[in-house]
Amino acid sequence: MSSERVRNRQEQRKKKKNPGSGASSPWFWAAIGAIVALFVLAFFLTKGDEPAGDMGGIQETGPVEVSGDALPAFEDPSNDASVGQQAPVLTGETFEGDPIEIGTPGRPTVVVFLAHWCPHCQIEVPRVKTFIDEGNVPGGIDITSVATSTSDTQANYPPSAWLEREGWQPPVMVDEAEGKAADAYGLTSFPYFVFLNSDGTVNARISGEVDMGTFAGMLTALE
Amino acid sequence: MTVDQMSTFFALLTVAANLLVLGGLAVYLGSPYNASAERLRVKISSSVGDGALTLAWLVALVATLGSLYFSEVAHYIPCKLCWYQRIAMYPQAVILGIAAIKKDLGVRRYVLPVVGLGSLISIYHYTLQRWPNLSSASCDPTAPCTVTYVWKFHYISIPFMALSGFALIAVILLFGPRGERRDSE
Repeated sequence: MSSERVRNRQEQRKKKKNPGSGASSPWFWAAIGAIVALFVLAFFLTKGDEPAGDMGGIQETGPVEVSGDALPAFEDPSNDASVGQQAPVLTGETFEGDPIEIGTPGRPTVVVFLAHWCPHCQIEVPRVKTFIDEGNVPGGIDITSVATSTSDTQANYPPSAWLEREGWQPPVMVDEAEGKAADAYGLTSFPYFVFLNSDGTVNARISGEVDMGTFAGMLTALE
Repeated sequence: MTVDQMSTFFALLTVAANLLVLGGLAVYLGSPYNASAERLRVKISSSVGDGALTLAWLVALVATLGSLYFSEVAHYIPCKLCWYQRIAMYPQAVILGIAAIKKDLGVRRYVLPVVGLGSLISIYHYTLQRWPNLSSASCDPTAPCTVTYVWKFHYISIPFMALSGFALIAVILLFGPRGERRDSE
């Protein structure tokens, strides 16, 4: 056993004299050189890029006032305690800073909560847009939306640019950074739809990607 | 350097890693069937020598630092699958470093299985990013694994970077000297 150790140590000493090993290897320095070269290349390739989110006059989050009791957290769509409950009225602002109100009794309304970084929201927005563009929304029903869970450290920021790119027509309220509007409506995952009757009570809630057949059925159930 | 520039830097490193892995695998897998591939394999292997451990350590170190950059500087929140990949990658930056100093090629038998597991997790994570409906139809508000923070050159995301790192470590270690008895005793 000890002679084996001695032999190993001798081998290691021999290896130490090998000029092609470890940090003295030309491969090692070639790798370091390549890393530095790619660092410089990356700097020049993306040098002119504007940081995302610096869009003049556009706000990605904004103040939200909630009047009324918050809806319970959305858990089970088949046994939703919020059905029939009066939804709180949200008073806030659009991306441009214009005032906007959601939940005020008057007309049946669908409130769509969207997170810019969520891939399911990114899939759902064009679906709903096509549904609206094809004239499938029955007359008298409003569709409105809330841009929530907004963060400049998340993917696909800013939401204003994303929704503009998608040609999203419904009005958009910007939520507070802490998600005050989303909390008031009991959001637990994205995308999130709250269907409100004309008297402001909750008709149904649903989250996740929704096929447009289901969506159309839920619209016809609105009172 | 902005976050976008750093992301491009790591994406360029990924492209380089991909080219090295593809080239290395072509030589390694072709060597039993083609004399020139075998000559090239032997030439590369003897030229790299024990330095394979240092190179593999360098890959693990850069991958670890890149991962820490994305979470600690860019403030991207690591999801559950990100953490599993970190568990497979971070220790390599220490283990391969010690092995490089000790010139212990026997470390391959410990490193390669972990690298293999890390690669499988990266492949699964990348698949979820490309097809988010495979996991669920909605996004959890806290760091879902389907979110794609970085998307470069139409195919590179963070788990793909990790996969490329794992694959490059494996290929470099494959080119380490053969017949080294210390790794089989």
